[in-house]
Amino acid sequence: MNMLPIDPRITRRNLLRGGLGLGAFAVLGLAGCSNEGRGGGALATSASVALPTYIPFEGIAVDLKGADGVSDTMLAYPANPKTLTDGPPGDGQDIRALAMTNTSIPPSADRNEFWQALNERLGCSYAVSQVLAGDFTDRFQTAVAGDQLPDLFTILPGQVPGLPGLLAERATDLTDLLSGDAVAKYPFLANIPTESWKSTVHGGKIYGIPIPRGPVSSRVTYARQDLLDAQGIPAEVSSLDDFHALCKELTSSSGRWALGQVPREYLRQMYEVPNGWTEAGGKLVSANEHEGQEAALEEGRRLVADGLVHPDAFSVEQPQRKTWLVNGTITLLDDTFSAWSDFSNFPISDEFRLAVVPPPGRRTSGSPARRTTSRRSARSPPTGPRPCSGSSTTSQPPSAAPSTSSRTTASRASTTS
Amino acid sequence: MIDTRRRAQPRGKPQVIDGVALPGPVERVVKGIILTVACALVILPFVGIISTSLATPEQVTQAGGFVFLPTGIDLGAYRMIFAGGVVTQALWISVLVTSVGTAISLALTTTLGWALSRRGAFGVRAMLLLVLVSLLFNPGIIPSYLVVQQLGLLDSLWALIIPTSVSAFNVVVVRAFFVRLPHEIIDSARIDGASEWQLFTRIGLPLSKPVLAVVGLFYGVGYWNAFFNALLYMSDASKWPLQLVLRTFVVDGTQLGGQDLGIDAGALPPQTSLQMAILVVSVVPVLLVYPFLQRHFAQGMLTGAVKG
Amino acid sequence: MRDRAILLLALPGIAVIIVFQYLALGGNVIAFQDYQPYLGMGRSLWVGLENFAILFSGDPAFLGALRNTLVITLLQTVLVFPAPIVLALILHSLVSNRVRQLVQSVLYLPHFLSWVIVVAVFQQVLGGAGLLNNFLRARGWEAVGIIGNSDVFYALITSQVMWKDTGWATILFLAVLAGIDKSLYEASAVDGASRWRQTWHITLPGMRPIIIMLLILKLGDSLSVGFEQLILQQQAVGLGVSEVLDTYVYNQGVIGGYWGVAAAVGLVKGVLGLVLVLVANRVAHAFGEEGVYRA
Repeated sequence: MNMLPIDPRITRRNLLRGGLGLGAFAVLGLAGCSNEGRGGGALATSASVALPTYIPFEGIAVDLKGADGVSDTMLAYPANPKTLTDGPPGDGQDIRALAMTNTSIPPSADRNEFWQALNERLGCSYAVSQVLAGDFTDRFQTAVAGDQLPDLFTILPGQVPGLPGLLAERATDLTDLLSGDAVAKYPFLANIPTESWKSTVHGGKIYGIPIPRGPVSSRVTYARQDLLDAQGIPAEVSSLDDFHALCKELTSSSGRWALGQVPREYLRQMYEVPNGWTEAGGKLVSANEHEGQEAALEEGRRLVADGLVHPDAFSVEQPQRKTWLVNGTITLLDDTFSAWSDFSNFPISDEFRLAVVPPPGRRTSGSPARRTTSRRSARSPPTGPRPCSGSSTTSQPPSAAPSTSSRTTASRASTTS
Repeated sequence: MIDTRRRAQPRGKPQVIDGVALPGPVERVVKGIILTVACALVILPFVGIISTSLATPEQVTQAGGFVFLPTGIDLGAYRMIFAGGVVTQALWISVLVTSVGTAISLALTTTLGWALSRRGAFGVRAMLLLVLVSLLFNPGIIPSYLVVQQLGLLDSLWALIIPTSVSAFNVVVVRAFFVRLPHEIIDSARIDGASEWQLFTRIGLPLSKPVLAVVGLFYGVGYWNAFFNALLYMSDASKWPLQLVLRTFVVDGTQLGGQDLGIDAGALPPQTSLQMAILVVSVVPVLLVYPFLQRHFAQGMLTGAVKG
Repeated sequence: MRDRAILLLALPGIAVIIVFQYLALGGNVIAFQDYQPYLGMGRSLWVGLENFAILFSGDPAFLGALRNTLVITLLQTVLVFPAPIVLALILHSLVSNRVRQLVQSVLYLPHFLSWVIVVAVFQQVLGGAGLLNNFLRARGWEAVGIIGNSDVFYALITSQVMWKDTGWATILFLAVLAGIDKSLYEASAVDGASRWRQTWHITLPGMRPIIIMLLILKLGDSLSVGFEQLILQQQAVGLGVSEVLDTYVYNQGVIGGYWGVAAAVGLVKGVLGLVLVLVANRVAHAFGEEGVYRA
């Protein structure tokens, strides 16, 4: 393994040079509407500061090259991971962080071998206070009020009142360290596309590191492949009516429902409703104004009215729906791509397989009759199940294209996945 | 309360006790039904919860959640939550906060109550007024939060104890009890040269056991049941009390994973069993102390109601 | 010397009350500030009465919270308040002491359970996949949507309060009933009064002072309805029906960052509650009742 001559360390001295106390922020999602609040702070304009230059990292070979806002991808964890840093990056001083999690909170470092190994490799004690997504706003706001923000903290775009004032007061100005070509000194950060940095700029200063996860936050419909296989039902949907029929087939009076909630995005995708905003004639148009929106909502209403959605769908949080999927109470789950890995923390059986059901156009062939009568025998189950296979995900509809989806899905991800 | 109604009655009609005729058959049946239904509404949910927590995983999974009549007993869920993970930890925090808190509360409340019962001493009238007026208002969430923050108690277990350690209502209850102690005993002890502290510990406390039992129960239950103060004041999840864990994993339905319990996820019993077991664990301490203190309820409540 | 000893005994307890009740009141100054937690009270801007404008500006969130508060209070006064009186009358009329004590033991119990437990129990019993609906579905009957159904939310929370506290609330009434002069009943029996007439003419008048006292206290509390109970269940039904003044203060202030506005609403609420108690007490006096206190 050749070591690359890289020193990615941002030392405390470096940071302190930058401003008041220590603190930076990681922004979740590509961008989001910042809430100016009443706390003051000039309106953020990305034009007033040179965003970090995008310098793709060439140190490792990726399996799939990303484009249009989709990040590079590896198909498997590298068999022989490269060592990229010259020694541990930490300078021995503790780093404390506040972050949100959609899975359950892992045991603290003293009872956690993974964490201990990580700290060793980092060369410092990295203590992340992880907070369940549902509690994050409470926790974040009380941390602000109690002046207890740690060295690093995550911010949910659009959910922090008075963000610019807060950042000016409590966060470190990273502009000198990262603006323009200065970022080249930190090749891993330079690998973040320039576009992503916009959300970190407030009052003309860079205050944080973006976490670009747009496409990962796109909503998809998962299916319990193993349950479908057992019933001889293919995890495919050819039309809106076909979907409705599938849901009917998966619902029974003995406490089984097809869905854990109304798959709003999935239905919208069928109607080719764009994600978030589109530009038409120089004006921004909300997806809610799209002609398919009303029909998609009506279809959602029908799913509920026909009893195909779990009766507690509206009163539970997403983790509960995942539990339903795991114990077979529901067969289809509306969630983001990033939800996939959560299931490792669930008591899943060896047979547990997940498939992703791509949305069809709403009128693409097929009739309900065909599904309910002949489908079972007409098609054989797909070939051998793969662990959590996403076999049919490639045919994304145009509406789910990440470049347009990032804005809305990113902010949505904060409350859902 | 002295029961005067069980005097022997001569058999025959009409039966009258203390001038009140005995209820007729219709009234008896109606009352019987009302009370039976009321008791069933309280008891049945607990039977369901306890049964489900004990039922075998297969039965719970098959029933889709709730089991009323378990076919077999399986303590797996209890073993899991006591395996040393987040629930065990929270249980200890709750036990610690409740026991230390109740001790502190009783100490502060009885000393203050005793002092306020010593009419005529300097400052007693003013302090009594302070206590009584504070019954009329509640400072509110935000001002309370600011005080806790200013005192530097955030993220400290003391934040769960000190702010609620003295309840003005309980002080009034205890004081009213002390006021009604026979003056002669106190006066003669004073003449014998007993100090104020001796009066309090040798006369006041021993004579007020029943009221202390009730006030102690109120405090204890208060500490045990509190969850919102922890949500506000404790950003460190490792210091969460049981009620907050209960909220997260039972009310909000967050998956209680293998990580939380310190065990392998594959070995987890059904989520419902775990939830019910946590629920049972959080109720049991209350059930344990309840029968011993129950007979003092009326006395404790009445002393407080008649403000002196 | 003795006075000093007494003061010393009082000191720790009274200090807690002064700090967490009276000093905490000082925190209300942020109602007159554009309070930003990261600036603190010292550096936040003073804005005078600007925050109080929310009370009159027709802000839908505030008006909604006010309306829900009043509706829930009304429901609880009309439905929840009389329940323990009736129950106490029934318990009092039981001839068997053993039965009465047994029933009391059972019915007092829920009072000692936390709201988290009560809400969890209700969810498990009445939820879409709970005890009741599993039972209904197993018999092929239509399931009923109770948890998470905003149409029946008020009924749900009202029954939760009844379930939790009706039994406990009988304690005071039972004590009063036990204290009513027995000779009144005996005298009326000589006059041939029936059980019902005795209840109406002796028992209920005997309970009147305590009923009025509790009603006054309830009135003073009328702007505070079950904070913990509601905050636990808001997510399930949405703020439209479940936001009350107390949760509004939390959601707008701590969560939403509008600390000043929230503190202003909380302050006005507190002052109104105090005024309500004082007024109700005066009214009680005017009608010749004892009320809560006499100045």
